[in-house]
Amino acid sequence: MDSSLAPLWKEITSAALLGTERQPFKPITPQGNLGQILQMDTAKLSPEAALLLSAATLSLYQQAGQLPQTSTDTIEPCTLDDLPRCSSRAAGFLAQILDGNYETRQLLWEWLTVAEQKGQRVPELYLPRLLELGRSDFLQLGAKILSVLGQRGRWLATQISEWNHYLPESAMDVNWETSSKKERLAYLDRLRQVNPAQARGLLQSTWKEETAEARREFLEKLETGLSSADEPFLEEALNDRSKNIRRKAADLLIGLPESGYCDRMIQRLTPLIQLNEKTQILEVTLPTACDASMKQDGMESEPESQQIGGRAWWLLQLMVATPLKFWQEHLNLNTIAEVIELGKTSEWSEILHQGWLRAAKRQKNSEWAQALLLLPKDSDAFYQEIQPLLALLQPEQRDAFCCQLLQTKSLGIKDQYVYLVVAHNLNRFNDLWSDKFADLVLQSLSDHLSNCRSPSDYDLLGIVVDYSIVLHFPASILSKTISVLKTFLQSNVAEQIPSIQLQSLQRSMTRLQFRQDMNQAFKT
Amino acid sequence: MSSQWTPEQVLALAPDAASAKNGRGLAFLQKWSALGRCATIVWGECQGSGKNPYRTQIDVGEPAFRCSCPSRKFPCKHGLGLFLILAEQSSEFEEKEPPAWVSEWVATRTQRAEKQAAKQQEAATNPIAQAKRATARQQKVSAGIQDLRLWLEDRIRQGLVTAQQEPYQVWDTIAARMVDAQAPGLARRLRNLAGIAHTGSNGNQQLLEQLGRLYLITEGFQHIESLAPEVQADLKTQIGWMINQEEVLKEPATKDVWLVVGQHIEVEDKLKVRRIWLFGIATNRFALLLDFAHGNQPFSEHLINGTCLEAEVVFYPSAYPLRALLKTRQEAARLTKSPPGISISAAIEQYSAAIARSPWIEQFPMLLESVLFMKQPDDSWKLQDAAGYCFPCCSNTNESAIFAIGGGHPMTGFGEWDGNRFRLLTSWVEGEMYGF
Repeated sequence: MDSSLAPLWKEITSAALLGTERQPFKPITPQGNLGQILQMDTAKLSPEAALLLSAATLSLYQQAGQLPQTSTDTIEPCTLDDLPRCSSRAAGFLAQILDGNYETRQLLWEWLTVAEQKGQRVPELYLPRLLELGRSDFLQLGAKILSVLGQRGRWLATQISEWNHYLPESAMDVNWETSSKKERLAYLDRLRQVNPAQARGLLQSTWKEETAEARREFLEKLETGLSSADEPFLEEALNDRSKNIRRKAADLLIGLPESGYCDRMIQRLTPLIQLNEKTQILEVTLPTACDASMKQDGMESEPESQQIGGRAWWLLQLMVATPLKFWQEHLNLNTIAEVIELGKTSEWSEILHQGWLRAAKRQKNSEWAQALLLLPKDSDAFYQEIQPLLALLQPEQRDAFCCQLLQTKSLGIKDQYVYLVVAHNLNRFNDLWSDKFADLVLQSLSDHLSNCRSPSDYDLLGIVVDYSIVLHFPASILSKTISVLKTFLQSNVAEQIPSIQLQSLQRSMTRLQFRQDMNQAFKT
Repeated sequence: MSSQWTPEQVLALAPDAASAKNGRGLAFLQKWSALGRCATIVWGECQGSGKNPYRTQIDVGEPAFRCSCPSRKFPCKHGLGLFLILAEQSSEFEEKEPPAWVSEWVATRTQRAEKQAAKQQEAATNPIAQAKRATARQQKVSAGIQDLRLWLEDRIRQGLVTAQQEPYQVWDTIAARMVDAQAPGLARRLRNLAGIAHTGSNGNQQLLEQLGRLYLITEGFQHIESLAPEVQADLKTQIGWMINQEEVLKEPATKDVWLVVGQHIEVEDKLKVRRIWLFGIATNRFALLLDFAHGNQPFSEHLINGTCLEAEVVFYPSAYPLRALLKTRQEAARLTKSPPGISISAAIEQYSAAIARSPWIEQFPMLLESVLFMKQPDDSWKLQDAAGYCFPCCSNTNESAIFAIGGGHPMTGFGEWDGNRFRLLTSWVEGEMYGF
């Protein structure tokens, strides 16, 4: 905008605002070419015409003579040395997933996994949408998306502030005194991975000024890189005024089997558990008191509910806080299964079972979880425990457990326990099943399909296929699955399926086909 | 006829997002049968919800679509799906003799083209009726413009402060008067002005500028006969007095290889306006194809960015000709390499020269070289060239994608400059062309 024109505009605009009736128009007379053009014979033109045409002239003069602005801004370009982009066909599937609804979104995980395995990255056109999607579900998707961003995606995430937190390095740019809690949490997490002592030191420096809520969140981060060096700090935290902090500190200390905390627990539990050599019965004595030192270590004297007596409650808490390795060591047994067997002989077997269950969860002990999952199920309450126990297992352990389950239960997926595990619980995990497990499920399904008689049989079918197979079958088994379902749909039996189930089955077929074509797209 | 088109380009033809999505859903071989091709025609049959499969065919030279499904959309999802399969798995189309339903369509199209040519001949041979219509129009427009002049002078006499306090009604009335006078271009300007008048004191100067320009048009019209024919043509265009397509086609044609460098669709009052920009490789000039569609109606023809047409283009008369018609065209090829661009200061020089000749140009085409797409502190975006000159950009839903595609490296970009902001329409990066 030419500043020399500004006073001219001011003059003419004021005149126009006021109106020629109130104030006769005096033509504006700048120098040079512009002045010459503006010189109009006002006798020939009415004042209104003169004003309007002067404005028009000035406007055109400005437009024709405009010059662009200049700048010395620079930008850091992205390196061109990058992972190869996935094929445009594969990208097309990503676009469909991003465009789709919740059901198609579930396939995002698979797309990202395959792309990562192939060492390919997301093409530029789809980066913004993917990064934005990951923002709304960062905990689940963040790391996964990072693996397929390539240099270009990382560069983009650095440049655009909303996506900065995809980059682990960005978390390191933090001033402990002044940054926000969210930034400091991310920073602490990263720092604990490289220098746990420094991280703890930083936390200690501002510990007293933090709110209780913040202290709890920061304390959780100490789980990363946890070591006995953290013990003194945690022991101190056992004295915190907030109950949540005390509990969290206790949780962390349980994860340090050599700690003083664990020692104390073992000391308390040891005299209560004895094996009677003669009768081979496990004799369990309930604690007589919940003394000051126990309370100091985070135990509650008041039972959690009316269904459990005080002393039993104390035993339960002791069991939860004592490292589970205690049982095999103290009773001199080789396997967890033997411990559990022995537990059944005790008069307090129910409490023992509960205690081990809770201990496995609190201590995140996958071996115990596995052992507990293999127990025969007689109580309904146990069904609620399946998912949390499964969550403790590594994917390979889950897989092994499930294979074993299918192989031992002759009814296959018609067995209620198997069905629950496969359809309801396993679907909550993102991983694809192993070829072996998928094969077993497919076989079981296939048998089931050839024996379908009543409508309720189809119910089972719908849920198993919809929730599990479509999401979790590995790519290698997809074509076999599709042909099994296709054969079934073309059979006479299929004509009797209620239409809702039929539609659901057809939808599942479409999604399986989508998955197969998607995997195929990456091969070209 | 290999896969010249990328899936993105095919999907850009979709009339709406739902069609694009459904089209993709049909891009699976399992859904189609009887795929085949012959010269520029491809065809296939798709099983739908009805008893008989739908028959879809595409003339990829244009591209033109035809499908037996009942959908009103154009192209329909079957057309899109078939085209996608062609783009991704062209080997699935066997070269063979077309079935009857395909050769019928091809025959009809040839017939239709011939009829069109004949019709054009016919229309040109009734000059008396044409002259009569022209005089009648001249009188109507003249009367309308007189009224407008008085109206504008009134506003200045009373003062803009008073004018800004007037209700919308006042502006609606004068705009309607222009429509009656067969001057829709002036009506459109008045409707836009109504908005500016009500933005308060920030709009004062802009209001005055636009009123001034409007008055300038009427002033020009007063002695229109004394002006050069190109200037007359531009004034008439501003008034909204459109010249017949048949008349334009009589003008001398410019033969060249024309590259489709960018396009944009705008919606104005339930009318869709589409601008397709062509760049003549040898003549080094731009041509603008302007198309309209009402409401949800589709555009009748499509051109994909990057298409290279050997064609004859006829320009509408103007002091700075831009708008044009495609007179004839040969088979198209695809060119992903960009023609050479120019610097921002060179582009502004062209713009100044153009405005000096035709001050009414609203979108000026610019093919810029080595520009960086960058974010500004206020979250708007700009293009900056190697010399450090900048153009602020219009806001766009694809900004992050453009940014990702550029990667902080200079690229060639094509777009429209309106005097204030640059609308980026396409860019070329590493031999690939992207349209936005």
